[in-house]
Amino acid sequence: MDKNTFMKELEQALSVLQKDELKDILSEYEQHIDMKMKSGLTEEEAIADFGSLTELTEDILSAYHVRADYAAPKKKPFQGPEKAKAACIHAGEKAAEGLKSLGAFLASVLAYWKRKIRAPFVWAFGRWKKHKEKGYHMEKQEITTWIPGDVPEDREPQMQNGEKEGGGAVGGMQTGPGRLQGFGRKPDWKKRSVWKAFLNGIEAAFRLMVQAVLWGVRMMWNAGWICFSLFFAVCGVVCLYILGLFVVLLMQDYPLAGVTVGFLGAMLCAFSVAGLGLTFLWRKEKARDIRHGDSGGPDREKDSAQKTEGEQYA
Amino acid sequence: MNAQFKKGVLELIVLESVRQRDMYGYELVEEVSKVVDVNEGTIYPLLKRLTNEHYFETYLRESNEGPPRKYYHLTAAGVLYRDLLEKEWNELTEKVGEFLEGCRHG
Repeated sequence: MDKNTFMKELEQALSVLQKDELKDILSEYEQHIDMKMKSGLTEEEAIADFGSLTELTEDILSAYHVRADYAAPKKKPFQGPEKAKAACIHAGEKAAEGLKSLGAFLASVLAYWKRKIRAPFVWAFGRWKKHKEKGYHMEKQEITTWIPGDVPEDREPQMQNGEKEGGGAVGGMQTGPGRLQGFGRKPDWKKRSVWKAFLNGIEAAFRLMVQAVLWGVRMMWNAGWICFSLFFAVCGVVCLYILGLFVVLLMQDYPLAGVTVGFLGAMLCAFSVAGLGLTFLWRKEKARDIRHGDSGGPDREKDSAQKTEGEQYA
Repeated sequence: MNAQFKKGVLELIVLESVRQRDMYGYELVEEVSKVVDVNEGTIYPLLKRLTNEHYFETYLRESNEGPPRKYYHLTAAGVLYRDLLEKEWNELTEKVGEFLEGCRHG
């Protein structure tokens, strides 16, 4: 038996004694072993001179007027650690489970509020986009139906009818103004289409501008949050450094337990605030809208609205 | 030697050794071992018990090597107890000697 196991077993066997008494008697035995070893014996021999451990502990305990057989059941703590270990593991698992469910709950609450807060914006932007698209569409339709349609073609058949009814000469006379009328109409239409194109151009420019502004805002927002997170991450690292320092000092018996725990808390706080800041980042949402866009349903519509909103800023 | 004999006289030997001069544990064990062959481990509980019964006082003194040593000093009560033990021991050996002597001649 080597010294460490001997000391451990002796401590276990004498665990019925008060702390300082135990420490006192153990230090005596330890010193004795050390001196024996200094006089040339090996560790094993020095310990073998004590004889059997049970007799020794009986002797020691009788000196304290403690029944040795009372101490014997105290040996049960040998199995204790197993039980305690299992209990600890069990408790740890339970705690982890509890924390997980708590985290899930908090996440769902946060998600709920995020949705709640976002909803009006999503709705507003959805409306805005729909409105824009509708306007754009209607204009396009107007143009496309206007070009080949109503006015020129409707007029021409009418004129032809007039020609036929009115006879040769009069018809010939009438073709002039009729054609003139037709020619007169065409520049008007052209003017309007140019006007429309001009408007479209302005609108496109405006849209581009809005997008640029949104992009700028997004950049500012993200940069702000990244700076925020970075700041707190740096704070966390500094706290970690100080924590390490204090732990070392604590090991050297400086009374810094409170401050150390404080810095541990500060470090955790700083890191979690940094993490929180990152969750506020405004990210692009990619290509999911293609799959969801077509399918109907109110929920899906909401979803796609959210996405289009995301796209809008992108 | 019979373990029961040893146990009885061990106290007396220890008390007498410490009466000569203050000693620390290991020194005492060596001193006692010169007289009777004893399990070294049993001296410490004995010292503990005698200390608890106020026959010994202890104090720490720095040593040149290793940690400070715990020295044992005999108290006045210890001296009285030692004298009582010695008296008992002498009576016992005397009586036992007389008995053995009587048996041999008788």
